[in-house]
Amino acid sequence: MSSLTMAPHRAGFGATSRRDLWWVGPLATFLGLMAFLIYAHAIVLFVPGYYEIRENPDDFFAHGNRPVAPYLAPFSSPLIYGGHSPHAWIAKDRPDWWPRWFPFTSAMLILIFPAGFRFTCYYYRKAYYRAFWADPPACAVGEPRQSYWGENHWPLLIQNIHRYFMYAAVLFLAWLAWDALYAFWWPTDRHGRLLPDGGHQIGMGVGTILMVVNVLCLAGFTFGCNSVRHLVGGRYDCFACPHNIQQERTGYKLWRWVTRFNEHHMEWAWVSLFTVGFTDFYIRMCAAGIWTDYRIF
Amino acid sequence: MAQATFRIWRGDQNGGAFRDYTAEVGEGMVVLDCIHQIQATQAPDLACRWNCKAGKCGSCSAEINGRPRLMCMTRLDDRRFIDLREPIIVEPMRTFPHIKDLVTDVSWNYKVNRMIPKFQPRKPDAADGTWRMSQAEVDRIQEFRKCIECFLCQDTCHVLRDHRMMGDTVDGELRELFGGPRFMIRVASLEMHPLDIGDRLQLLKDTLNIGLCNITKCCTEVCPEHIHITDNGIIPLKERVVDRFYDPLMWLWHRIFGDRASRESAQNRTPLPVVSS
Repeated sequence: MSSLTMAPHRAGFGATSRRDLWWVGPLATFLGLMAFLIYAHAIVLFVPGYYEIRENPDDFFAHGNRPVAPYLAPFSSPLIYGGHSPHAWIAKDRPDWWPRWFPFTSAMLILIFPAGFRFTCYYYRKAYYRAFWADPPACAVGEPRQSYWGENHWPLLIQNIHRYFMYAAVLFLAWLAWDALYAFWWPTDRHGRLLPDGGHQIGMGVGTILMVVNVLCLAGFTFGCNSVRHLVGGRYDCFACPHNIQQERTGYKLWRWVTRFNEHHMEWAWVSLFTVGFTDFYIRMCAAGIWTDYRIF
Repeated sequence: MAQATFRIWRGDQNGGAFRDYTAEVGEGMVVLDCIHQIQATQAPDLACRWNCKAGKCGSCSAEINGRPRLMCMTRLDDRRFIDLREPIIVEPMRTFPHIKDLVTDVSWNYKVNRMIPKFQPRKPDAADGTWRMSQAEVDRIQEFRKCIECFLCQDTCHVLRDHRMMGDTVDGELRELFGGPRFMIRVASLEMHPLDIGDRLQLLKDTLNIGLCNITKCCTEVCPEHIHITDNGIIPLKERVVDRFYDPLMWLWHRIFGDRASRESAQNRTPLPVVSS
């Protein structure tokens, strides 16, 4: 191909003839994602406890400080190291091999998986390429940089790992669903008194509703994933080979089902980001004694 | 009748500038109506490409107030794009070489198009030389067939628009080639075709460089045919490229179980009814 003579081009960051408020979308995205990132980092780095509601909110790690609600904050689920918590996999507050001088929260061991799922998600890629990297900031608006590698070269070639994070996200979703189910299994009566002999009863609080809604929203996001859509049926050229005269194949039905969620992937992404963040915040605020959870029955 | 000011890019490859024109605006009019009015009354040498005036030929692509749009499909009462109290800016597509006024040279697209291997159908399903397809499969690729080749998606794609990745020398620098959304959609229409047995994934990865797309979805936003270019075309193709070139588990799966289509084509088929003429 020969060299091109281009039309006069508006170059430079933000250069455009657009008159609409093109910067509002990226700015809102930036603020929304930043708020979530700041909260998530604060919890992961600086809040080692308060993942469940215990009797004494002032001394979370005190010996014999028992949980009075079945909730588990989603950022800490699964709770690999959780002392005497009923949710804990290992009955220690931190691993022996972890450096003493470095802060530890159990969330540090697991959040790479949901974070990786969202980081490599096709919708979030659009969102942060626009809002954080301005590549482009908006359609037909000038960019700040001349250089560009796209996802064809390192480091962004790593985005192709998305489906592996999706596999992990499905496992996490199953785990959070178990947590939501467990949130109906209370160690206290409806007046907040611990049941004798470590007994449990069926119950429900506001936190239970939040945890169930959170799982449903996360499921809407996870099962609308483009990789799920591809793997269940999108990868086939024929939904009904060899003669293509039926549409009853399971792959086609699944593909249609996932497509319905996929068509609203952006909405599910934001709603589930909010629900997972707020559910975590709610439980930790109750755990700190700042908010009081309302027991419905 | 209300009046509107049109600020139109006038010039050729040697340079140009915006010039203001006034046009009468009536109910139901579109930008192309006013361009024609200006041609007829004030600027008979104003160059603009158009044909059907119905959003189906893809000729009158331009940038209206900075938004890649078809002039014939942009109504002057559409407040998303037009505010009659301010001059309406009409420019040529900024991604392609400029010829004159609102006309650009889009021939680069046809060169890319020629790189894509054409439709390669499998052997006929029936003895009379016919095939069978399900409605679901037809529906999926039919969306891609709606493309009118207006090249607005190519124009707004920042990989082409800002980074000039046209496999060409731009400002003395050789740039990589990116096929652009239009041709991702063309490849999708062939790759997902239930009868096609061609393989374009290597081309997609190494020549059309699908990895250069960072899925910011501007192509989808500007498509006048409302094709879900990114979600239904580019992302599924990216996933197919991952299957083939980046996913070790999928590679292992294919090594053990083989390709589904070839496996099924090897099965005994029930004879199909023959369509009589």
